[in-house]
Amino acid sequence: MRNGKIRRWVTILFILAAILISVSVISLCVGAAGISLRRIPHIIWEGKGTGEHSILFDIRLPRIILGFAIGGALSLAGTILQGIFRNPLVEPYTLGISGGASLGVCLNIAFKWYNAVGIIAYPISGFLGAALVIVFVYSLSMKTGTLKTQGILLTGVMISFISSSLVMLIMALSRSEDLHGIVFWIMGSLEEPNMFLIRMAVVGALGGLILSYFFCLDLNALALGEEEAIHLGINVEKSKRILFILASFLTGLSVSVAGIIGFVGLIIPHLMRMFTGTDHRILLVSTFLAGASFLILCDTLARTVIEPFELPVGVITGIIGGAVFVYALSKKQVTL
Amino acid sequence: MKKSRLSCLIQNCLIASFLSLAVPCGILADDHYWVDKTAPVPERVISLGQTITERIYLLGADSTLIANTVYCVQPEDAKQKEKVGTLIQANLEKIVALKPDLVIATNMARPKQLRKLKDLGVRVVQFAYPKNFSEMCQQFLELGELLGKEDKAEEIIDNTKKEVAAIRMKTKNLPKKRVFIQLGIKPLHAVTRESFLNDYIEFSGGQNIALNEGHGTYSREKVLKENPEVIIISTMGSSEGETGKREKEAWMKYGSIDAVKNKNVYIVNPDKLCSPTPITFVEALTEIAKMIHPNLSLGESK
Repeated sequence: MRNGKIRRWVTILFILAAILISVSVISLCVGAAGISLRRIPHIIWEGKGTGEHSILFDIRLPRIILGFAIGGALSLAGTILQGIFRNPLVEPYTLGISGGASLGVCLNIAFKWYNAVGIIAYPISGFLGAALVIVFVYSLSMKTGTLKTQGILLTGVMISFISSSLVMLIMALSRSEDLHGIVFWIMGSLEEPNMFLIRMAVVGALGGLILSYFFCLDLNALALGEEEAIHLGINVEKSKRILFILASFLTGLSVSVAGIIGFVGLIIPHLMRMFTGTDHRILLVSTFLAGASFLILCDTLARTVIEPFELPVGVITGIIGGAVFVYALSKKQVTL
Repeated sequence: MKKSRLSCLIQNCLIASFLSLAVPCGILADDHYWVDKTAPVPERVISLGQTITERIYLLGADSTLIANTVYCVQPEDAKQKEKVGTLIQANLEKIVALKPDLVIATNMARPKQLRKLKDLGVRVVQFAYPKNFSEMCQQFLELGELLGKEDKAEEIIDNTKKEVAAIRMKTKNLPKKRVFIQLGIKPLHAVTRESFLNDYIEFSGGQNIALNEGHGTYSREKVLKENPEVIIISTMGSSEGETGKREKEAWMKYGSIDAVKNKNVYIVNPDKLCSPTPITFVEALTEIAKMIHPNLSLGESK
């Protein structure tokens, strides 16, 4: 019985890893530049210096790596949050974290902090905005000493509304050249010239995945209900707090580097739960891998569907993710 | 083979990370108007803006233009060039694959994309949207210099300045009329001193009622209060279709405005007004000067 389960898990992991690798390879091979598949081994063999090599490894590869980190981080954050709140509609963005990050970036653009600090001001201000919201939501819900899950959800949703209104206020007051800076950022993109930020995102996402595994059993217990979890000997308060902060950190990191890319954190956890079941021991890593593959795939589509246009990746994640999800839901007839 | 591929990849990562550490925080605006006089005249130019494309054609440097954006449709020949995306979102892969030696962008381009291009060793020059007529002339001269067409650029600018001066001379002693140029409908958007469009009003002897607004958002109430003698509507889509007409009808309801009383509400094609090349500037200025002073005779007007 136990062996059977492990074999099943290994199979799932194997399939997901295979999907991730093939999606990445496909993504590396297709694009507007129209480099033929047969040329690719040749280009790699020739090494650096050619324009085609530069397209593969300086333009496509960083996007794939960032897609891996962001897709993984957002899906993982979604899984953790849905686990804590036992609410199927929670996703990384419902808690106002993305709203806070947008507000931070808008303030940066409006007050031209980037002139003083440089281009790095964008991710920093995004992250500070996200962090501020997390602290705010967290401390508001901690009034009574315990982390009230319903309270935190409502506060988060309200903070989202407030920050999007403030973003609109800034947009209404700003000049046209600042305006499109804000719009770009809100649309989200995996195009990031700064390799340091990309590496940071990868380290952060993988670090988050490892850390989440210390709490996978707590999450399993929480799925039964908070009271049951307490009876099982789980320090529910502590786990909830750490997991909440971890999920917020993952979201803040993703949003500050890549902007707002919706749907990944909502759909992938549900989709994976349909395949793997609700055991967080396998669910956490498989959502990470599936989220990474999904985002890389969507980004590949975004930059190739209507060439030479490049669509915002959020458009593709929304359409494909939503459609696949509705289809899967109607087929499986599962309740969430 | 396998090893070399791997080492190549690692090398790539290392170089990229070194680059990112070496230039971690360049300021976006670092090379607006930057012209390196020692650089050879570029032979493969990509334009990322409609006005830049038009200016390149004016300079007669279109043989070096290898690609532009999907919205570069003026002149006719510009449509035939390779397309690399839009004004704000270019396709980097395609740009790199075309091996340009110069990419000219506007300040609408995505900063991240330009940085990436620079990191990849592509020469990028950025021109901001001009704030006034003299800045536009300056930019045109710089572009001429950049493309090795200084003489042509100077000739065009000299002519333009002469024509503009002639119009200014004729309107100088005429009574200053209060003018409102409307750029947006919802919200109502006006031309302020921040925009080179203000020069259309000043040069044709008008007085911009929204001159000192901080940003362009304006209110109908204020228009009523300032009581302009001329209203010029130039919003997106106002030249063709109903938008302009409907907006004109909306103004016509306010009988207290002098412009409405004297039927001085006009619709102008925004492409002509807002995409500043020296030639279109003179054309648009002539048109507007005639709207503000209907009795004005401008010899060379078209």
